[in-house]
Amino acid sequence: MSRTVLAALLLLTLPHAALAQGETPPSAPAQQDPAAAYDELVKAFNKAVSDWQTAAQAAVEKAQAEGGRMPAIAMQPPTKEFIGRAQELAAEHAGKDAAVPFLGFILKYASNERAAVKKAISTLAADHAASKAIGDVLPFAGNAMRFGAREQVAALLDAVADGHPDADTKAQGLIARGGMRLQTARTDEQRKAAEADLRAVATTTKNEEILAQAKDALFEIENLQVGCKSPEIEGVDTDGVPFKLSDYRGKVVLLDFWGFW
Amino acid sequence: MIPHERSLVEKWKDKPFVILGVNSDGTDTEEGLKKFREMAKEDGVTWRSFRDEGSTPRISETWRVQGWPTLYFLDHEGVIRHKDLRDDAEMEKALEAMIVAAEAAAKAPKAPAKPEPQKAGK
Repeated sequence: MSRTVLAALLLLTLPHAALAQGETPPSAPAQQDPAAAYDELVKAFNKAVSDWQTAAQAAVEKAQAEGGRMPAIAMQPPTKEFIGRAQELAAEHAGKDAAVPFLGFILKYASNERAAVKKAISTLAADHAASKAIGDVLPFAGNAMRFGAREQVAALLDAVADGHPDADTKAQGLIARGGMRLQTARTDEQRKAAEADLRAVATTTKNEEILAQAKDALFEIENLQVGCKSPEIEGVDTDGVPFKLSDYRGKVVLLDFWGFW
Repeated sequence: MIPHERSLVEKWKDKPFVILGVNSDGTDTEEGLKKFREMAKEDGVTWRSFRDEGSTPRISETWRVQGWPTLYFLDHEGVIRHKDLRDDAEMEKALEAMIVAAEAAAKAPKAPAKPEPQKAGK
């Protein structure tokens, strides 16, 4: 499979995009209930992404069937219009909890709207770090890193992880910050800081879902670092024969996650 | 990647060393498998690979693989010694040292029958 096709197929599996139904205009009348406006925005966006995926897939299939070159399809979902709309709605509810989901939408779905992402993460850090609505958008805060907003992301996560009044939200802040720290860690000290965040979750909340998330994030630290005993792999080889990684104890193993594509 | 790996397999064929792949070409399907076999033959891939998609969750998911290829260097006790060395010369140097250690451990006189497995990282 060529890389182009793979990239297209990966995009075809974008989350939340497959189930959109019905026609909804992307713009809604002003002064609408913010929750309803948010639902409408997401629904319209999902529909647009779904249409784009269908078109992209059809173009790839056609090119494959004809054995021709890959078509010059748009490799990014149609986000611009919707990011703009989310900005408008966030501005409409500026300073209030109702703005948070719209700012979160921008972090979650922006493809190349750099300025909008920077503004959204800055606004969240400045105005909403103590909001009870902030927990839901924390998992997407890290997305802003690739738009060059590292400081703003750190400011928001520090504020939530260190100072949010609600224990569950604080714990979510610790998970988000630990994850970001782990992802960017270059030294043992930084890795320890990431680990400390994730371990602190257990003494911060009793919410089982949040505890499970922290445990999942700790798996990497506890099992996949240099010096760790490697996790067992029990699987099947390409001839269909079952085998285990530990069958090769006594030998040096170069474990290679690979593909031809 | 593959030519270098092929050369390592050849170079250390009499040593305690293997390459094990975790292949993500969709080898859980007939179509993926067919393509895999053609390509493996063409490129001289002789080493064994797990089918990534053949396990739930996928092996690459459990191992938190973010991009391909990803390499882990495991010693004779299954301990991760390096991750993601990319430079051919550095890889070889690291593996050589690990092979020496594996041979030494195999020859060690009166080694305890079952050494205690090392505890996961601290």
